[in-house]
Amino acid sequence: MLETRHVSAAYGKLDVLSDVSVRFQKGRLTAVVGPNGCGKSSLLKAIMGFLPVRSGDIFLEGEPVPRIGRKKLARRIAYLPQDCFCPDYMTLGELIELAGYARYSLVGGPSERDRALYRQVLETVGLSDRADFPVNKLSGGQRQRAWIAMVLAQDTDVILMDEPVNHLDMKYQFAVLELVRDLTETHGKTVIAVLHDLNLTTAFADDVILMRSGKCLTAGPVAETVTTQNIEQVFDLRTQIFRRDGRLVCFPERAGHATVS
Amino acid sequence: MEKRGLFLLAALPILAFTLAAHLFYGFRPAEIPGLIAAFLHFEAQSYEEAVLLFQRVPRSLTAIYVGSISATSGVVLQSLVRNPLASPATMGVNAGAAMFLVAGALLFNIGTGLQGAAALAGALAGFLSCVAVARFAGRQNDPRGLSLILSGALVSMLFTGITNALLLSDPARRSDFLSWVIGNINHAYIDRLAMFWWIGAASIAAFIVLARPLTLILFGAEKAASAGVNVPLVSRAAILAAVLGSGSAVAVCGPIGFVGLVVPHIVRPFVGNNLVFALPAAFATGAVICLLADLVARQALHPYVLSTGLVTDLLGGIVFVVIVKRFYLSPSNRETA
Amino acid sequence: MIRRGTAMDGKRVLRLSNGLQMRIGNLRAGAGFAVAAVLLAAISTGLGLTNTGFFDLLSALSGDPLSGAEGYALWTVRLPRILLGFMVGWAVALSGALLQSIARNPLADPGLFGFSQGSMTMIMLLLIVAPAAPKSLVVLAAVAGGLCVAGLLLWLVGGERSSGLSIVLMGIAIETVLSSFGSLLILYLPTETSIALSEWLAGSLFQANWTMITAFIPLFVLSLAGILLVGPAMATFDLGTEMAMALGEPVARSRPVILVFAVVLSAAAVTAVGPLVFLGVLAPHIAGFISPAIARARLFLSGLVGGILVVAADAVTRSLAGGLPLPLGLSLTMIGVPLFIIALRLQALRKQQSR
Repeated sequence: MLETRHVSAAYGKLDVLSDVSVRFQKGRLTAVVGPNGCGKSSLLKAIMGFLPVRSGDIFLEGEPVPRIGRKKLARRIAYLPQDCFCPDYMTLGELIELAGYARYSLVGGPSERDRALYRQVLETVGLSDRADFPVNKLSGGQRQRAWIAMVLAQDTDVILMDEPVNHLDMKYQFAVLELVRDLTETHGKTVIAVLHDLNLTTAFADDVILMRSGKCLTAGPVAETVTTQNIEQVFDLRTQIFRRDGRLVCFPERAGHATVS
Repeated sequence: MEKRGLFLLAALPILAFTLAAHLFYGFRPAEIPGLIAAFLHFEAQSYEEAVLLFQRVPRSLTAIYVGSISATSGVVLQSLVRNPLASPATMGVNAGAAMFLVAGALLFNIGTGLQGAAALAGALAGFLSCVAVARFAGRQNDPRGLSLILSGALVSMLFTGITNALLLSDPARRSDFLSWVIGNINHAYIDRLAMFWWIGAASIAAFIVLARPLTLILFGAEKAASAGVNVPLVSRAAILAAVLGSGSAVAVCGPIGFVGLVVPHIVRPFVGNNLVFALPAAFATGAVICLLADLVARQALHPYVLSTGLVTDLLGGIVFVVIVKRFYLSPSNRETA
Repeated sequence: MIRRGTAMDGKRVLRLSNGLQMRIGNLRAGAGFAVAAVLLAAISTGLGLTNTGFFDLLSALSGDPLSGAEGYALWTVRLPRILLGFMVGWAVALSGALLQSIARNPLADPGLFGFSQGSMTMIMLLLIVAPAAPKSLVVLAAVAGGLCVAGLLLWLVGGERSSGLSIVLMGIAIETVLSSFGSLLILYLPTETSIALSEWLAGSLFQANWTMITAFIPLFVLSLAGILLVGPAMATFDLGTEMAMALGEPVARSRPVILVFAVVLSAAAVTAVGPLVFLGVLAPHIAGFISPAIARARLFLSGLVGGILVVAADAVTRSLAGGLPLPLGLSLTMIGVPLFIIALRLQALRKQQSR
């Protein structure tokens, strides 16, 4: 579906990605996980063309992504950056309407179908009553949901998210990830999310890509890939992995404390 | 240690040399011995000697005065405010002094003496406005003090604008002030120098007295307090001396920038932050720089004579850009937007 | 077919069949600004030493010829100043709004950043080298000068830092240096030109005439088309470069084009009237304060407010007792600094709240 083959990229002299070959499965939630600076965000940026790729190819449904023009790409892949800025005067409604930018004609605007989609999207994220609020006046959790609504309103098959739940309270982390999970289960979208927390990953993701120092160490379904060995290789941390209520839980060991298995 | 000693040792000869260049450049080489004699005996018997004694000497004295005051004030301001861009020109001091003086002269017809007082009041007003605007409109998260300098620039723009408006409202008197208002080291202003020089001297005396306690404050306000230094009093006294000294310089020859901004940066690599050494170094370096700037203004575009203030504004802007780039935009600095 | 509808945020809009929607609130604000502009212009025709005004103008238009002094005052002095002033204010305000979006810096202004002074310096250099240069060459020189400063700023600051305070300070420094340089260059011009130019250096409507207005009108019309085409892209730029690209805006291609557009607007204004500072940053803020808008509406309303500000400043100057000949640039600076300080404060407050 979406895949990278031997992609290497650098910021000037600093290598951020080395020979990364991964395949993202259609209709599944893939988490990209790794320690700080491992290249998780860079991978997403390279796919979107925000980071110049030194070598390797990126394919979307067999088409090389760099050849797809910006407008066309925006109709097929949506991207949510880690830090989102919005001018103070923009309301949630205006933000959602901006999502369809790639669909509108040169002097056009949202069509009836677009507007129905936007209304539905606002309901999905639970912000229908906040559409007239300036985005920056929403609470932290609401704001993140607003940006997800915008990305949803782009109506693409693939959604890339860079650390979508980083600064949120636990309650909102789970609420937002439930929403993201829903995107794949109910709407059949392919979602790739950079996540920082391993346990959130095992709770919600179908597949996981483990990265370290710009390389992809291993990738695959969560149940097979999240093992003690792999975690130790990627994070330099000894953990125990066990199942609880059908979910994998990572239990990092504390130095000098005996663990009961 | 060695660098510092060398710098201070070299300062006086360099100053003497620059002074000589300022006095004698432009005369034919054959005349110079005669001129030196005239200078030493203070007797003018020819046109050139008159030019030397009654134009060049006053000009040199003014340049030394303005240069040394601006430089020492700049060192004190940059140290106390902890901002590499602080200087009398960038904090609204010069613009405020100029505006109050022009307002007094044009609106209230005050004489030269009172004009000096107006300049002092204006210098203080400019400084306080800058600080007030920075406090009012500045960002909370601004460890590098850019808001303060932006406030200073805005306050200067406003005061300069008002000054220009005042000048336009009185076309008759406008020509009196037209060259003064951009900063003009001119022999014609020697009477002003004679009237106000004691203010600058008082400032420098204050700096000398406060040098050691100020240095202690620089290296840590709490440590200084525990060593017996009255931190608020010393800081405010030093700032007052800097502001008023700069105001008196403006009263003499109009607002001259750049010297107060650049000299602390020249001096710091050699003598460090210890004000006991930095102040005399700045005094000499400021005088040298100002003499050089005035020499350039006088001779560079011969026969056109530029106002020294024009040259310093040009150089000052370039120095400003270089400092911003070096201190605020180098790759190691992260800047809060 | 224009129909009424509601936008996503509940505001009422007028909608065209191709989807283009115009918020009724913004339309009302725009109409209000237009009415204010006309009113100000009418009042402004009556200000000045000669005793004549709007009604004389009306009777002149309907066939009654005017006496020499009144005709001169209205047709040769006042009307050109008002019309040119409005268009120049429109251009500079539009330039500022565009710059604020592409730099994502709410303090961006073609005067404050030195673009106007760059244009001014280049024009002066041209006049020194080729005093009889045709007007078209002068405008080209102005555009080149503005682009040079833009390039210099970008080089000094580096692309991503254009949203900080440093670029504002750099811009002010460059602006000051170039202004001083301009005062220097005046020495090299023949006396007749230098007297006229020293007014222009400060930003002044003193040489407004009908030839200038006719030359400016095509640009004005072009800018309207520009707003229509470029408006939505500005809204995406407001969200940041990455988000804009993610939404489908080819930033690498469109940002230089929009920058050139902004510089051309500012350069044209400088050619006519000299450098104006603060207008480009204040007009969009004032427009946004009265009627918050994004994209095309924001550009359009900013332009209107810019025009109004200039006509108002000109009216105030000409109405002051004793005929104080304040150049436009000076009045704008004196009103601009306090307003800019207030804008800074509002921005600082908002930054605090959003933490």
